[in-house]
Amino acid sequence: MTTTTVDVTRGSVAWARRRAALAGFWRQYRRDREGLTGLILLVLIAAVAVAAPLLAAETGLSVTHAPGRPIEPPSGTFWMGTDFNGRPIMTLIIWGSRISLIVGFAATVISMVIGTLVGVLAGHFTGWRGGVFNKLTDWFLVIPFLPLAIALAQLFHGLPKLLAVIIVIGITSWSGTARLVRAQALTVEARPYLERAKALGAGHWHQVSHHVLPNVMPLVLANTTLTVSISILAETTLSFLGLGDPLHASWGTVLHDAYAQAAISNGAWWWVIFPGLSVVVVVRAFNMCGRATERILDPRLRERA
Amino acid sequence: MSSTPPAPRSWLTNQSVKNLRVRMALVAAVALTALGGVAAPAAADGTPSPGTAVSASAPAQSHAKDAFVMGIKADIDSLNPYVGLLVPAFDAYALMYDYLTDGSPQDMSPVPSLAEKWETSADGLTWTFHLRKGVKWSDGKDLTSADVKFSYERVLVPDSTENGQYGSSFSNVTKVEAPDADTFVIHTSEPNASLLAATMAGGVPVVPKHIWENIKDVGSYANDGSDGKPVVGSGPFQLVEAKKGQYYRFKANPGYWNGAPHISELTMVFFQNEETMVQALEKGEIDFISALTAKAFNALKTKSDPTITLNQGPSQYVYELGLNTGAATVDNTPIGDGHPALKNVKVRQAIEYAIDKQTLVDKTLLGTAKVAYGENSPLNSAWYWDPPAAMKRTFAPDKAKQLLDEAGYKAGADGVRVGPDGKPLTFRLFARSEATESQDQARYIQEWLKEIGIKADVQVVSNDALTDLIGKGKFDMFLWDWWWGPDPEGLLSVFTCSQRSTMDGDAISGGWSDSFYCNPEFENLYKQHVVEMDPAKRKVIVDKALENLYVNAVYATLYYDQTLQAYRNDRFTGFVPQPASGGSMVAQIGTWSYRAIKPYTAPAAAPEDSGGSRTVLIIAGAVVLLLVVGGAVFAMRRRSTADERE
Repeated sequence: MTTTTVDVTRGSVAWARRRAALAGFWRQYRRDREGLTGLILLVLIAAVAVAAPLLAAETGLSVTHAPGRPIEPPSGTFWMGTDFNGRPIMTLIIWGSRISLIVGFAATVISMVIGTLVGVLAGHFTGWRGGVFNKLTDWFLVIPFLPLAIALAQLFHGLPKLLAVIIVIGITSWSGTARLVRAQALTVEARPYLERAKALGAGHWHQVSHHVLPNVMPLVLANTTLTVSISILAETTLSFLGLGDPLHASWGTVLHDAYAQAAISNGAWWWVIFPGLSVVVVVRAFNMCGRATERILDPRLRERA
Repeated sequence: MSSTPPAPRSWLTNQSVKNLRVRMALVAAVALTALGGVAAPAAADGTPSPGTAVSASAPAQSHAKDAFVMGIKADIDSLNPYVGLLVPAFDAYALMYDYLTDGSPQDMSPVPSLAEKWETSADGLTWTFHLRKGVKWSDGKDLTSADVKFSYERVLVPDSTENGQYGSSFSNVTKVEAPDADTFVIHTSEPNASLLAATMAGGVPVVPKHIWENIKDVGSYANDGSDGKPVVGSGPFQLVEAKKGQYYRFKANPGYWNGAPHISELTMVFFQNEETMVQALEKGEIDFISALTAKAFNALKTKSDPTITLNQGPSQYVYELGLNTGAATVDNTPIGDGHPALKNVKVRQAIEYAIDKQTLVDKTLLGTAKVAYGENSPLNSAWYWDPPAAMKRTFAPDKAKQLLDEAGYKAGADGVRVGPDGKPLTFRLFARSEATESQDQARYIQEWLKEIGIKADVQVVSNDALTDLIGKGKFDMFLWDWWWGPDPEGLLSVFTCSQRSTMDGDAISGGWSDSFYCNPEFENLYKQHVVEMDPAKRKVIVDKALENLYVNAVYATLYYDQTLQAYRNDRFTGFVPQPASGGSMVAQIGTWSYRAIKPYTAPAAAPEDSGGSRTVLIIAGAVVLLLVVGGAVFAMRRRSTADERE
């Protein structure tokens, strides 16, 4: 038997095990009412974002060809009313879901990569090297999100606004993940098989990539769903504060326009309520999925259920 | 939050030496906007925002009957009259100091103030001002011609802070004299038609010599009492307390030479957020709002609260779409990266033809502005010029396309026209983060330009970032505005060659020109209008100069904005609009309203204001809503976690 075949066999065994674990996960997830509701909601919202051109004509985003009159209340023609330019709020929400979701996901990817990396390294290395990563996490944990995000947004003002927002959210929201991953990495590090690997001469890279990382990944995935909802909320907040891209409709910019143009004092409640509700629904859906995943992956939670 | 009014670029401060400080002032404004940003979510989730906190800590709440409290949307940038640039700052200077002359409340023409009368010599080169006797500084000392001479002399020092702030109209002044305690004389080398206007309120303030001669670094002096010494002035009000970013309290000067004000105190409270400011007015925390956006004004109009009076009238703000006509320094060295197509007058004209100004005003300002063609405000009626109908570039996309065809810009593959040099007509269009209406308007202009084959790449930047970009010529188009004073010299000087940027080594510092216009014919007209003393002949020259600007499409001037103000009529009465035909009631040339207003006394047995009971109703409603929503959420939580609780 050559070494190559050994590797292949070992690899395929690992894959088969992972496939089985995934199937088991899905079996349990299907039975979780909350998780399933969240997932269905998410699929629906994603479908709306993808099918935006079919659901609402793009001319509805145009200010010069706006179909309605200024601040028309909800009616048969405009289900969610119009803004001061006469644009249907529903069109803005449907098209805005694209920006909100893209920013939410992209920022989450950045946040998860940084968070996992820092967390694993903080857990793996002992002594001053681990301490540095740990202190870095502490530092980002204690800085309040908004002032840091606003300062960073000013720093990145040269970039396209959308990209700047993604980066700002990404690099301000990873610390929670890092702390969580570090805790998990520490428990993995204490297990005997890692000691065995070390005894057999495994280097840092091998230890981290073959043993620590695969074992923290489920936790990372569960955390991802929660981070997406935070990112979407953050995008809405930043856009609402006028730090987003004001020329592309996102839920945050719709709310920003509503606030800046005195929608509430003008009685245009629909201009605030509907985008606000959209944010709430998406964030809640991601939370439901995240909680369900957590329940399945964390044995302690499973026992209590 | 970002609906703070545009930082008006004032003709009063029209000189390139100022530019460093212009930017610094704007940076401060940006920092405050960022703070305003932080305020927003707090307001959204129901906790008090800094805006409310400010008004609560200010002496605004339950203020005395004769204490006038005014909400301002742009903070006073400096109380030092040689440093500040924003309108509320100039308003504060007029409260604290006197000027040789004042602008009449009827039509803003010069009327006596510290100078009881004045005359010019036959050759127009000597101006003699006869000063009022018995005027005293707030520390009891006499105000004499020595103070006036001191105040004007420092403005004449070349390249000084003072010269940068007020010197533009005094370029041909050779010397000033005080032959006796009550006389002040200005000598000029040639006639100067804009000199008198520069002595009015908003121009050179008369400051106490015995205080200011001891101040070493004028540019960094705060003049807000923070050095422990009281601020000394001769105006109708004296500063007693200044909290930057919060409020400014002024006490009435009971011994004012023109009669004591009828109010005891005047406070300007800064709000970062318009919605909060409107609520403060409704609650009676403040008595006056000096500038509202059209949409907030509309909301107040719809509510029609009988205790709130709205004031809508013409203003001196003129809004434009600025165009980079070819950025260069004063010695004609090209700078920046402006699109070369904008040097072509036909392209600039086409842009104006493509814009439906009436729709812009109707949609983004709810009709509260007047479509503009000529650059001067109609409020400056003596120097107003409107193009004849045949010359006006009214909305005509076909005409715009025809002009672009003639200029050689043929439609490209993706609908964007391409020039003979192969460069597509893609222009950067800058809107400002501080002015929400400019962002709104940028969307309209972008769509209209698209229809004639021009792509506008809209970018939103802060005021200070835009000032910097313009100074370096790194722009194509932008949306901004000017406040034009009653004399046309300030307006016209902005379009002269010498106001273009200057280069010192590699460093470029911007002048006041934001178009980089430099036209020999216009230069000539500018020089003529300064020395022409006959108003009728000067008018002909000014008209020609304004026509020159319009024909060459230096700007696409968009609209003349209106004053939108609101005040509590159950608190104060007797406001004096300037001009008399429904103009601004505060921030005037002079302090007419501030000196005239009186506390309102309700007629006997007037019905009690129902404000209190309304507040109770609102609170009760909020509590009920909270209970219902909270209860529902709680019930849902219980249901969803039922399995976990067992």
